[in-house]
Amino acid sequence: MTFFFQYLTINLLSRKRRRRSIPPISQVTKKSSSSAAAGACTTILDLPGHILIDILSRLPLGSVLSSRCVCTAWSTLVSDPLFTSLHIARVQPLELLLRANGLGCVSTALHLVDVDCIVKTAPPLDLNERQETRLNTKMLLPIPEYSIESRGVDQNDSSSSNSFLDRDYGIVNSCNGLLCLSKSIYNNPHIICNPFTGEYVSIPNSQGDDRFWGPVVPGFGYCPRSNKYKVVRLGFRLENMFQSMAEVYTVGTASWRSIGYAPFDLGVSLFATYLNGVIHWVSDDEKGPVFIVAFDFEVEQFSVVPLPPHFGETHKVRENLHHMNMGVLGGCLSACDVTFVDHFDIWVMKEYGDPTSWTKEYVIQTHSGHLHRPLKVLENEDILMIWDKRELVLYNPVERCFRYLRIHGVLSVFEALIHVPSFLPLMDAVVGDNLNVENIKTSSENELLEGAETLFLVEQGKPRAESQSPLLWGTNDER
Amino acid sequence: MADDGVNTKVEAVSKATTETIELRTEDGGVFDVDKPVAMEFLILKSFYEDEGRVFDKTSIRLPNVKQLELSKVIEYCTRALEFGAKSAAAAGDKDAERMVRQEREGFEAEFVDELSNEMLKELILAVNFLDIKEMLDFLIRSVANRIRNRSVAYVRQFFDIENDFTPQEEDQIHQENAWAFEGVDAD
Repeated sequence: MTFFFQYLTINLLSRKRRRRSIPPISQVTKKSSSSAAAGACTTILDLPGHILIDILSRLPLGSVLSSRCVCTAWSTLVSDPLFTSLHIARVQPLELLLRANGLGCVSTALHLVDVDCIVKTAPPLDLNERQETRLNTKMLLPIPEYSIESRGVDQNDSSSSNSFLDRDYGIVNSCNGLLCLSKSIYNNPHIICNPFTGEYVSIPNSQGDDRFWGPVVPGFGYCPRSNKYKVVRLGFRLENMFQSMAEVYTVGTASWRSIGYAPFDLGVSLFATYLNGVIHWVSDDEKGPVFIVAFDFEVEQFSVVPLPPHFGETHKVRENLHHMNMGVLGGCLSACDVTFVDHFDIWVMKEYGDPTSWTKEYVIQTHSGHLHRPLKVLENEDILMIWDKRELVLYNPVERCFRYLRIHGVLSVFEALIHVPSFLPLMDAVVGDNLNVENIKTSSENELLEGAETLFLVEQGKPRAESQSPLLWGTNDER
Repeated sequence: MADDGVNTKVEAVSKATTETIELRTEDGGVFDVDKPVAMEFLILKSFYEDEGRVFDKTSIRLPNVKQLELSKVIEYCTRALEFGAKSAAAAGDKDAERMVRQEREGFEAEFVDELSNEMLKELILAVNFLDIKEMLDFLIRSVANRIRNRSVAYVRQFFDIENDFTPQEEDQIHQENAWAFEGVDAD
């Protein structure tokens, strides 16, 4: 990893010298540098540029962006895609986004959670103490309804300043800083977007697109080898209601392609998880066996990923078998066995594709195992989870205790998404002739955002030990 | 062949006692530095290795380093070597490893707390000149921590940079990512 950074910084430096010859800093900041003893540095301005790059690449996303304002040289430096990739490799800013998603009412605002800040803030000391964190950062889902052209057409003014829309969008999954959105009723993938830049492209609807029987199972991913983004969907077409078909759309092309029958019947898309060029779903047929279906975007083929041995076999609560909260932890596919009454297991597939590498990493004592969805393992080894779609959880596996932070908003049900922020313009990220990029970021986006609610995280009482069951939130602290 | 024998004999002797090397700073400071610590300064290490000479006590003048900085550098490097040794000894024992890590984090936090912004900058210059990789990395991390989540004005002042944007250009950047400018720590 160190070699990689050095390689990149040297490359960045030499590339810049060839193209724009910017470093060292003293030449660009227009302050006269003091004595120039041969090879010696006398002020911070005379430092080699790679040290500045090193410093900036360690900053969190917000600071990197605000450093664009410091001076023109820094702005150029920070906007360079090479710097962006160095920054992402270094800081790994996996951000947590929350979205209100209740029954029949879905928000279009995404709220950024600064997990680092929460981890570093000490929890309350006693049961009656309460701590609130305001989630300041919001952004809107880039959708056609918010683009400047369609806003004039929309008659219902109140809906444009509110972040709840009648026609809801579902989030399929995140990949390399891009989100795939689907239209709720049929779950048909419609949009690829980047919430941080406000850009989106619409997926072309080919003829007969809405002629699906029942909901579609979509997935979004990236092929590293061919450098293409693709969307796959499985569904029953009206022409053939008994056999599910699979179709693929390569972003940047004109239309969907059929790739034949889908070898698996997935009724609903469960836990769509993207990892290294492959999208995974959990089978949801509660009467049948449970398995993980994988679709490799590069070769466009389906396969089954075997589960850990004896997974869910000692099931006291069999109906929870499919609620395995599949995700990615530490770069590996993970699944939870939540069929026990008093605890749940988190399994991690250390070597992808090797079923013998499934390791039971954590055994967590709790009575509501199936409600805990692990999201990420943090730097301090705590596990970040979401509980019952309403509370964020920090679980400390060493001290064996939980911190619960209730999410306060107009609605009380949320979806959580781990997403890598990216500022690469869509034109640069996606190759293709048929790319029509739109952008919702205009000066009036801020007006729209003002109408969006602000979420709060509320932590009540000190961390709870594993042996105690979580307090059930009563109605007495509704806002 | 005979030469080798002499060399190894001298080296064996120097291992027995803690060899030191004398470093003189540009403002008249004189420091006797232990060999292992001095060898962390790659600028010195390459000097000895290139010349192919046996390590013996000579005096080296460091033209770009002042005594205050050098004393801080020596302090950090000495402790860093100690932690390295402790870490190696604790290898395999997860609890011991964690303890060493926490101890080191505690020391580093205290060390950097005492440094003013000016001092931090001077140290980076000195360490960059002396070519000490681990400490440079530590200082860069510390600077990043100092400026993270700070206002643009603070960062400019820290690096002594003039703003060369027009007000309109600055406004534009603000708008593009308004959220990044909110919630910064007070100056």
